[in-house]
Formats: sequence, C-alpha cells, structure tokens
Amino acid sequence: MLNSLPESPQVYLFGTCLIDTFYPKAGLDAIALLELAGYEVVFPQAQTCCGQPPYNSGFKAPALKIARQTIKLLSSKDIPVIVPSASCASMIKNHYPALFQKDTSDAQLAHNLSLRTFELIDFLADKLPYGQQLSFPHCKVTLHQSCSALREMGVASAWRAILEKLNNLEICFPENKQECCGFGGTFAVKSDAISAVMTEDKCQNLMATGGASILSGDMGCLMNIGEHIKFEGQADPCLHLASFLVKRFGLNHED
Amino acid sequence: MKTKFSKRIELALADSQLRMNFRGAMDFLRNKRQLAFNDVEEWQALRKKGAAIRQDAIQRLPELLTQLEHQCQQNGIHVHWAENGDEANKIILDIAQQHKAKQVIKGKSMATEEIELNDYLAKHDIECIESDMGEYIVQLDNEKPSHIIMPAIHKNTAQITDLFEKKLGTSTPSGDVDALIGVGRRILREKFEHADIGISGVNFAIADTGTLCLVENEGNGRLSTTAPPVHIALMGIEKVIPDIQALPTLQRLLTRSATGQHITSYLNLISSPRKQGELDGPREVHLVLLDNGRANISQDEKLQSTLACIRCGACMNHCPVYTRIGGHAYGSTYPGPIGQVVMPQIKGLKQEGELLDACSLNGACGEACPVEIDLPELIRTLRHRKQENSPAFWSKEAFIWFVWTKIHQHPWLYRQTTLLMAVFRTLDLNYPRGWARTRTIPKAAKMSLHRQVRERSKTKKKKENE
Amino acid sequence: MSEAKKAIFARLNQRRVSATKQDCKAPLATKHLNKTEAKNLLIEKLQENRAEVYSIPSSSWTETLTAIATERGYKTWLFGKNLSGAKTASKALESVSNEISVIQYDSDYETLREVLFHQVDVSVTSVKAAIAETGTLLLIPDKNEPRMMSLIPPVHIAILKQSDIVTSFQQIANNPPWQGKNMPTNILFISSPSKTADIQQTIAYGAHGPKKLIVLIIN
Repeated sequence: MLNSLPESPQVYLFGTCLIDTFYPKAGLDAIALLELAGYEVVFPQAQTCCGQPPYNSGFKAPALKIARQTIKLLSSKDIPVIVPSASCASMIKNHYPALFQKDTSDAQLAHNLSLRTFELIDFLADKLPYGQQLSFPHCKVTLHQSCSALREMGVASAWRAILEKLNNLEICFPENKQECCGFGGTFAVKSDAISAVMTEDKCQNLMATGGASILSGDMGCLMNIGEHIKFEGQADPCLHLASFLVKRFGLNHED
Repeated sequence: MKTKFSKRIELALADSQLRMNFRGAMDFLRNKRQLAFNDVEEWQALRKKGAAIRQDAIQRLPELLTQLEHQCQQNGIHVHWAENGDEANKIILDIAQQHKAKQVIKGKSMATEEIELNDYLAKHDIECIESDMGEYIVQLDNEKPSHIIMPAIHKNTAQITDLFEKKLGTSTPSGDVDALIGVGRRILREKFEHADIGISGVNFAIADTGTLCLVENEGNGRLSTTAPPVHIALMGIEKVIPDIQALPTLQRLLTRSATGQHITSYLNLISSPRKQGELDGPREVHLVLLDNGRANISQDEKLQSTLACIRCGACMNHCPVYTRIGGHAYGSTYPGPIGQVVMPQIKGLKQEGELLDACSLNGACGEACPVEIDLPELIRTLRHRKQENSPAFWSKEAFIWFVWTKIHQHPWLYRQTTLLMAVFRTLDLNYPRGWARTRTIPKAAKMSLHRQVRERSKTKKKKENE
Repeated sequence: MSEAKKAIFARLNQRRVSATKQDCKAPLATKHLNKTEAKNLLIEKLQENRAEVYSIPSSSWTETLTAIATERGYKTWLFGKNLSGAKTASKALESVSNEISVIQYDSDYETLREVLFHQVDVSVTSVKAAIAETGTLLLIPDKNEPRMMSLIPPVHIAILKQSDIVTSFQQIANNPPWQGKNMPTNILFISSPSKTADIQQTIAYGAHGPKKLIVLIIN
C-alpha cells in the first residue's frame, strides 16, 4: 500500500480484575490516554487476574497457575504491557520472575515480561501532549500514593510529576502519606479489625486535606477508601488518575 | 471463631490510651530516624555495606563461631553452647548455683526474654532484676516488653508515676520524668552494689578478637557487666561479626535506626575477665551461645536473611499494624514485622503462624530495615510455607481459592462470572463481614471492561466498514 | 566438644545454601577534616549530647579543675594513675578548701566499693582518643585507671589531648590503638552523660552512670 500511515506502536493493556468488574471506566480512560499518547491498545479478552490475591494470602499454587496463563497470554507479542494499578503491575514485574525455578523457560518468559511491564501513569508521564490540556479553574486534589507505587514499583514520584504538569492544580498530601490505607487485599478481610482502623485513619487524613478529589493509580486502595467514605455517609471523592487526566485532556468516550 | 490473637488485637484496638501512646511514640521515633538519615545517598551506601557484612557473616557462621569460641577462650572467657532455651537456662542456673548466687542484675537482653530466663531463675529462688529503666518499669508491673528497644513504650509518664506510687510507695510530682528516673537510679544502684551475678545480652560479637560489644545509653549495661563478680552474656549465634572493622558500619546503622542517635552514650567492648593486677571488672566472664532455631534458619535459602537482623526496631516503628496494636498484642517475645518473621521460625508455624496474617504487605518495614532484610517477602514466604506444610484442603479459605482458581483459569468462565456479578449488582449484600465493618460493599459495574472493549471494537469496525 | 555444640555445628554445616560474594569492605564517603575542624566538630557534637567542654592551654588543666571545684563544691575527687599531672592537680584541689579530699583508685573494687558508690563526687580520667564525627571519647581502662571511674561517680571529667582527635570511628577500627588481637579487657566509647528516654521518650540524664560529663581538651 502506498499511502498508508505508519502504524502506531502497540501496547497491551492488562486491565486488572478489579477494574474489569467494578471500575471499567478507569480501564477505558487508560485506553483513551494511551491512544492520545499515540499507541494502539491491544486488550486480550482472555485476561483475568494477575494472581496476586492468592499469592499474598499464602496460596502459591493457584498464583502459579494464573501466572503461567497470564505470561503466555502477554507474550505472543513483544510489546509493552501497561497496567493501570501499581500493585498488579508489581505482581507481574517483581513477583512473576521469582515464582519459577531459575533458568527454566518459564523463568525466561517471566523475566522478559517483567522488563516489558509498566505501571500506566509512570509509562505515560513523559508521553502526553501537555500542550493540549484544557484550561480549568483552580482546583485542589489529594494524591494517595499507594504502597506499591511508593515502594515495590517506585512510581509515586511519577504520579506527582504528572499532576504537577497540569494547569491550575494544587496537589495535597495527607498526614502520614507514606502509611498504608489498610487495604492489602485479603488483609482487609482476614485482619479486618486492624484494617478497619487503618482505613479510618487514612480516610480522616485524606479528607482533612480538603481536596475536591482523592486521586491514585491503585484501584484497590481507592475502592477501600471510597467504600469507607460512603460507609460514613459521604459521597465517594475517589478517582483513578487516568480518569482525572482524561477530563483534563477533554477526552470523552461513551460509558 | 475468634482466635486468641484476634482477641488480643480487638482489646488493644479498644484501648484508646494505648493507641495514643503508641502513635505518639512511633511518630516520634520515625521522625528522629528520618532526621538521622537525611542524606539519602549516605544512607543507601551505609545500608548496602551493612547488609553485605551481615550476609557474609551468616554465610560463614561455622567458621566465625569457631573463631569466636577459640578467641574468647584464649582471652579467658568461658564459652557454652545451648541448642535451645532450656539448655541456655540450665547453663546459666548452673553457673549461678556454683556461685551460690541469690541475686542477679540484668542488662537489657531480648535473648534472655526469648528463653524466659527471669521466670526460670525465679523458680530456683534466684531473683533476677531488670536494670534497664524500661525493662525495670515493665518488670515492676509484671509485664513483658512491648518493644525491643523501648520496653515500656506502651506506658506514658502518668501511668509510670502511678505504678511507682503503687509498687514502690514513692510520690513524685506529676509529669516529672527526672524524678522517676531518680527513683529507679537509687533503687537499682543498690542492686548493682550487691548483686552476685550480672547478665547481659550482646549486640555484636567480634570473632577474631573474642570481643563482646554492648550498645546502650543508660550505663546499666556497663554496670551489669562490671560490678558483679561474675558476668554471663547470652547471645544468639547469628550476632557474630568477623572483625572490628565491621563494627562502625553496624553501630551507625543500629543506633540511627533505633533512636535516631548517631551514637549511643556508651559502646562497651568486653574481651576478658579482670586480668592480673586490674582493680575492677568481673573475675569470671561466661558467654552462652544460643541456637534456638537459628542454625536451621541459616540453611534456608529463602529465609536466611532473617538472621541479618541487628534488632534495631525500625521495622516495628514503621509498621502501621504495630503502630495500631502495640507490642503486647502479638503475644510474642519479638513483636512487629521481625517478630512475625522470627517467631514462626523458632517456635513453629503451627504455634505462631497466625502472626503472619497481621500484615498488609505494605512494605514500610522492608524499606526501613538498615540491613536490607526484605521483611514483606519473608512474611509472604512464610505464608506460603504455612499452607504447604499443613495444607488444609477442607478449610474455608482453601476452598475459596480452589474455586477462585477454576474461575480465573478459564477466561470464558471468568467472563460469565463478571457478567453474573453485573446482573446481580443491585443485590444488597453485606458480605464479607470483615470488609463490611467499616465499608460499603462495592457494586459490580453494569458492563465489565472486557465487554465494553468488545463493544468498542465492534463499533470501530462498523465505522471503518461504512 | 559438647553435645550441644556438635548438634549446632551439624545443622550449620549442612551447606544447603550456596554462598554469594559480599562486598564488606566498600569504602564509605568520609569527611576530611583538618585539626581545627575536627576539634570544632567534636565540641559541637559533645555539646549536642549535653557534655560540657572546655578547650584550654596545656598548662591550665589544674586551674580548670580547681575552678570547677570552687564553683560547684565537688568534695570528693577520684584520680587514677594515668594522668601525668595528677599529683599536682590533687595538691591544688586539696588546697582549695579543707573540705576537698582526693582519693586514689589504688586498691581493688571490692575494697573501694562503698567509697565509690557513696562518697566520690567526681572522677578524673585520661582519654585515649576522640571521634569528631559523633562526639565520642575512647577510654581504655586499665590497672591505673579502672573501668568504674567513668561509671559510678556522678560527675566524670575526661582529659583529652587535641592531637588525639580523629574524624571517624572507622579510622580507629582500621588503626586501633591496641596491639592486633590483644584486646584490652575493656574498651569504652563514651559520647554523653548516662541517659535514658525510656519514659515517654523524654530524655533524662544520669540514668545509672554519671549525670555530668565534662571534657577538657588540652591544646
């Protein structure tokens, strides 16, 4: 073909089971942003969960089964894998390689996948056309840096950096910003008493900042925080960073 | 059904005074540490070196321990080996009985807590007095330490004032910490003057010179190891380091991580009993080397790094769970993240495995650890071991994960499940209950992401075809 | 070999884990301080840790002690035999007032115990070296200056020569002032008066050891 445009580079989106089932809008927003950055998004319909919940709960065998399947699924193309959740991204990037015996072909595949796996916001930080953002009146938002973003993935600074590039935006952090929100996957059910107290403290600190929205790149934390704030009878102020960015760039898609 | 641990957790969480004491103390200690390590590059370099020194020592335990024993003996220190707490207690009792000892004064030592030495000696009519101010306070109230560095951190000044009044009949002005410390000093000096035996722990033992290093602020460690005619030191076998060149790095990491101090008031290096012509110091020094599970840990590739610990307490100071429930709720010698890792290994997963649940794997402990112990990974590994060692096929949790795996292994089944969840999204559920105690139940979206992506590509194709 | 030792070594020697090379000697970034900087840093750090520091010319440490004695009324002084000017200082102190007495630590602890615990107000010792970075004094007690001197009396006066100040603990560890493996019975690194923060993180001085640490730096 003579007049065809050069093909856009492709990326996989690993949507995560939580976003898939409960917060699909965050997933669609992630796709919209990736497209804005010039990528063609491949979303394999056979994806399910990364396997982190049983893995962290002590059940390694189920995690191994799911990991094998996910690795296979995301290895047919040698392209970046984008995950809109730091915690799930870390499972694939940091924990998959450790699941397999060294020097096996599985380990090699896991290692290759690990190198190609990125947390969404970190991946996008230097790829968005910031000149194209709409102008907004002054607004204050609160950033919840998830534990996975801060530590295992080390992308919390990228989250902050991306917000700092937006106009008229004041970014607040809660007191004890480094502290866990109390989610921790099955921890919230198994150690419910402690988790509840941690969640209450975190929400209090978040709300005390007075930000209009609570933003994060980890939907697990946002679910925990949002559902507690609703439990207290208030409206859920939580928004995935992708959804916030989509508004800022005026990207609309049918819900 | 409530287990004992969960009961203790509920009680701790319901105690608002306790919660305030811990929150205040932990915030204080974290800030102090932060200030001491404000140079990030320096901290990372120091930490890397500290981790290497500890890892190297663990790998060379047989060699270093042999050297330590030999050199100590050359220096005139008696060396004893104990496979477990019982043996260590017996060795110490034997020494005490040989000297017809009635009163023992103790410097702070978590190893003696681990073997429950005080109770053991008390059963044999030997009084064992704690001389570290925090330990003394805790002992006075028939409690155990709630923190490995600051044993009485769960109490505030008012509570200690009351305790002294009740147990010692003193009356000190409210809020006057100096006066309280004055009371402790007066009582304990009397004990130092007359005790038959001094017992201490060991922070590091230098193999090539046969030297015991004790790190402290109060001077009670020095008194315990200098005033009584006999000094017995108890140490876990992992505390050995090759030479004195390794000490400055570890000392800096230890004191800064523990209390934010660049150095403690005293660093006390003991290499022998009183020599001919010297005028003070104990005439006999004994070193008891305690295994109690450590040798086996050293042979486990995934868990070996447990032994790198220098007992600074930074992991608990940074743990959001410890900060909420405090040390006693764990019901174990070592609380917090390091306790959750050590206790199941020395006492067995069956007995202490439940400690592992009280962790959200947030990683704050691992980040704070001055010798790079990946504590969250160790906790995760032990959770795996717990399931592998006693696979409870019939447990509710095992069943849930069995079903979960079936669903997530089959993308079609998975999609049907999310579809079902979407269909029944309006059901007013109140399960799981743990989640629901402080949160509403999230509702599935009308259409899953999978489905919306499918619809989207259909529309796209349609548009392209038009 | 004891049974316990045998069993422990059997476990340790299973060699189930392969060793990896560790870089234990990596040099850390160190400050380079000249003599004045080192002294100033030492003073700053010692003062941060509540030690009193006096920097004085060599001739005057006796005068400084007598001034302290006059000003604060310390009555019973304890000396060892390591300080070369001890005799002169003792005489000078005793001439300040007839209430002042000087004791020599010249018999064993068991004989002196009562006196040490209940009579001595202040002891004076030499210092082997000092670490500027952390504000730390290195004492190596011996038969001339026993261990208890810097521990039991409520006030400890330490006399340090400026030329003995080094920058870091690592320097001392790498070039120790003792002979190779022949370690002295006891080596002490002292950085402040005895203290504790065991009651609600509030620092209190004089927990068990000296309540006051006074350092005289002789130029």
